[in-house]
Parts: sequence; structure tokens; C-alpha cells
Amino acid sequence: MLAIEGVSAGYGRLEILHKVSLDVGPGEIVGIIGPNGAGKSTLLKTIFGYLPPFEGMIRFGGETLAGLSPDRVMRRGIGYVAQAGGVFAHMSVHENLVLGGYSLGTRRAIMTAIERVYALFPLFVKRAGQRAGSLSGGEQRALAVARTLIVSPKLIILDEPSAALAPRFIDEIYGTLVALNRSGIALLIVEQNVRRILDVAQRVVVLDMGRNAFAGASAELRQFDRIRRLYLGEDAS
Amino acid sequence: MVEEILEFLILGMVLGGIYALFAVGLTLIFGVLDIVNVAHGEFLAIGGYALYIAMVIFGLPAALGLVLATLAVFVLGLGVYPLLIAPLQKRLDRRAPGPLFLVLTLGLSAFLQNSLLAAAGGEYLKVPPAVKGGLDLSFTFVSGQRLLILVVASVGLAALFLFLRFHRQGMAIRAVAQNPAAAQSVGIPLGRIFTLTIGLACALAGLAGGLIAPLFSVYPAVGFTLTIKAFAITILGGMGNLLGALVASFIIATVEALSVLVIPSEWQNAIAFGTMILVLLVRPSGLFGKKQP
Ligand SMILES: Nc1ncnc2c1ncn2[C@@H]1O[C@H](COP(=O)(O)OP(=O)(O)OP(=O)(O)O)[C@@H](O)[C@H]1O
Ligand SMILES: [Mg+2]
Repeated sequence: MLAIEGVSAGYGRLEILHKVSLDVGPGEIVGIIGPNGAGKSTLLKTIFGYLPPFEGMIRFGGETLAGLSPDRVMRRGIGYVAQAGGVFAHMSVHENLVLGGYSLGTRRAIMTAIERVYALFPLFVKRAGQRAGSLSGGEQRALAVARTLIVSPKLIILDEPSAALAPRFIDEIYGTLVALNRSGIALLIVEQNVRRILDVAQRVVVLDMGRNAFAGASAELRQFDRIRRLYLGEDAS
Repeated sequence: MVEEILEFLILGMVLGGIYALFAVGLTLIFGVLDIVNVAHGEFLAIGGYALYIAMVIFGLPAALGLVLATLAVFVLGLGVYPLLIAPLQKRLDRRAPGPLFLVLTLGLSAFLQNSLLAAAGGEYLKVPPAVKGGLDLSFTFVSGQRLLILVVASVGLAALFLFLRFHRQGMAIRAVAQNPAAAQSVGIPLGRIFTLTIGLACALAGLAGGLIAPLFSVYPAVGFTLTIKAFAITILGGMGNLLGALVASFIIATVEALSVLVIPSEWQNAIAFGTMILVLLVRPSGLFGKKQP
């Protein structure tokens, strides 16, 4: 469904990603892991159109995405949840959700879609009038996820959904993500929490210094000694 | 004395309505695009000329003239982003340095002012008041035009605030001001919102220009002092803070009107701008702080 091949990208002239490839099939969960500064966020920003790729191919459902602006990538059926600060902090929870439906056009279509999302996130019914910036970090992350669901995306891209959250909230957000995936939405998740992503993802891609260092099934990665030492803190012997 | 104060208070409210139409638009552009539109006063002047053309040359009724003047400046304003700002942004790779845009709008201001001078000449064109008569309050007489300014400015500003609060595109404008990246992620095209924002702000300036035309006549530099006063208002209200700009407009206008009672009128502008510099030094974030629209 999402196919990336030989993509190089970066900021200004500075190349951060060097010929990265990966793909996500329909209904799949794919994880991206790698050390800080490896280029994980840069890769997601390039897929979503915040950064133009220098070279390489990005296709979604057979159509090319490279060169489209984020608002147009979004209209192809991709949702994006940023690493931090993705909500409209000075607006209410409800306004955030209304804006999530911006591309639906009519007020009625937006309201119908919002009712569906409120049913999935009952927490936000009570918080509808609350300023999004005053929600807890975990709630803001959940709101950003909920906001992408208004338009029923086929794929959601998430940048470290568990970052800076207490374990209880990590469980919650991953519970939500797995449920979404069961309903047919594919997920591409950047995650520092390697154990967590190995539990939910069918496949994992490891990025290191802007290059593909490994790509394969989660089970396979668990066997991969160097990864275990580096990311799982286990002794390989 | 009390009657004099009341008289100047009313004058302050009328002036405040004009300042608010002007400064709220300027603030909106700043909040959404991070650009100070130095040419805002010229859009006000063009509003005045458009009203002159409609009423004096074509003999149209005043109400229709005001609507046409506002629409004309709206359409002109719609061109500013796609024709001037976007090309510069593109050449400079998204994050262009702010001073360049200041030079760009300063250039636009000078270009428009000199074009008006060349096309219409420098003389003061008289425009008849939109409404005759007025309100006799025993201690003072408020002309119909001044009442009209108060009413139309209030309606125009209320319409803008309601649009920003409830309309889908108005909410999108606020979204872009707060978080452009998140706005894009929900499908909002930045370019269209930038275009619309400048168009709306210019429309308000054009409306203000049409409203004051019968009071101050129409000439190329009619908007110039207002632009500088609007900077003072924008700073006092907190850069990018729309409600702050609204309140500050009425504060500055009232103080200005009342100061006539104690300060010789030739010192008025110097004192107003001196106050602006003082506010900048003492409270650079303004009275109300920088709050997102
Ligand atoms: N806006 C930017 N301008 C220039 N360089 C940047 C910018 N953002 C990130 N970089 C650089 O790009 C490299 C990759 O950053 P990126 O944010 O993609 O890493 P990451 O893998 O997401 O790291 P983390 O795990 O810390 O989130 C880093 O060296 C970083 O310094
Ligand atoms: Mg990152």
C-alpha cells in the first residue's frame, strides 16, 4: 500500500536520509526503530510531505506522493500524529475534532464523523469544551489520534506515540492503536520503546544514521544479536 | 467641562471603530503569516478612492458604494499572497528571513502610494457623507456619518470575530495561526488560508477607508499615519492578539481624543508615538500579552 524506495531527504541541502526503503501493506503494523538522530522523524516528515525528497520513490495505493504538500497527502488517506505538539492547544477538544474533518467539506459530514469518533473516545465527550492545551500529554496524543480518525484514513503514521508517557498511558494508547488496526487501518509507528513495538508490529525497520540497518519480521529481529544488545539491553551470549 | 469630555469620548469611540477595523486586520495578518503589512494604509486609501469612483463618478448610492469599495479592496488583497509573498517564499525556501518581507510590503506601500499619486493626482477629493443629518444630544451634535462609522465598524468587526470562531474557513485561519504543521496534517492548504487572511484584512481596511472618506477626504497618503498608529495599537494589544488589538484601538483613540483637551494638538502625534516607544520599552509583550487568535 505504502511503498518507499531509495528515498534520500533532509533539511536544506543537508542530507539526513540516504536511500531508505520500506513498505507497509494493507492492515499491517510496521515499526521503525533506531537511535536518537537516526532520521526516523525525518523519514515520516518526508513521507507526509513536510519535506521534499531529494530522490527516490514514495507511492501510496499505486499513486506517487513525492512532491505533494501535507494537506494533499492527507487527502489521499493518510493520517499523521506528530512526535509532540500536534494539537491546536488554544482550541477546545471539540474544535480540534471539527478541524480534523476540514477536508470533508460540509458541516453535516463533519458532525456525523465526529459522533463516530466520540463513540470511540468517550473521554472526549466530557472534555469537549476543554482547551486542548490543558489536557495531559497522553490525552493530547489520544486527541491527535482521534482527530486523524474523523476522515477514516487507510494508514496512520505515528511518531513516538509513547514518548514521555507513564506506563499506564502507554498501555492505553497502544490498546487504542491495536483496536484501530483490527478495524483495518494500517499503522506505521516510530518507537523508542523497542519491546513495545516488537509486541504489536508484524514487521520492523531499523534506521541507523539515515540508512536501513535491518528490515524484517519482528520475530526475526528478536533473534538479531546486535539489535538485542543495542536496543533491548540483553546480553547476547 | 463634563459635556466637553463626553463629546470627545464619543469622538474617541468613532475613531476607535476606524482604528479597530484597521488594526485588527493588521494583527490578523501578523498572527497568521508573521508578516507586518506596511502597505495596509494604502489598501485603506484605495477603499476611499473606490468609494469616490462609485459615488462621485458613477453616482451610485452610498451603501452600494461602500460594499463595492470593500469588495474591490478584498479582491486586491487576495492577490498579495499568491503574487508577492508566495514567490518570495519559494525563492528563499520556506523559512525566509522576516526583514525581507518587511522590505517587500514597504515596497508595495510606496508603489501603491505613488501609483495613486500618478493616477489620481495629489489633491484632496471630497466625498459626500453617506447619511445626512445626525443625532442632537443637546450638549453636542453627532453627525450621521460618525454614527454610521460606529455601527458599520461594530458590525464588520463582529462579523469577522464570528467568522473566525464558527466558520470552517475561519477556524482554519485560527488553526494556521496556532500550528501550521498540524493545520496541514488535517488537510488545510496553507496557501489558500494565507490568501484569504490577507484578503479579509484588506477588506476591513478598504471598508475603513470608505467610512472615513467623507470626513478626511481622499488622498494617496491618507492611510499613512494610521499605519504607524496601528503599529502602536498592535504592540499595545500584544502582537498577534486580535482582542488585544480591538481593545487597544479604543484605548488609543479615546486617549487621543481626550488629549486634545490638555495637549496642544500639534504635539498629539509626537506624544502618541512617544507613548508607543515607551510601551515597547516597558512592556514589549503589550498590555494583554501575545495570545493566539
Ligand atoms: N529542522 C531541522 N533542521 C536541520 N536538521 C535537522 C532538523 N530536524 C532534525 N535535524 C537533524 O536530522 C537528524 C535526524 O533527526 P530526526 O529528528 O529525524 O531523528 P530521530 O531519529 O527522529 O531522533 P529522535 O529519536 O531523537 O526523535 C538529526 O541529526 C537532527 O539534528
Ligand atoms: Mg524523532
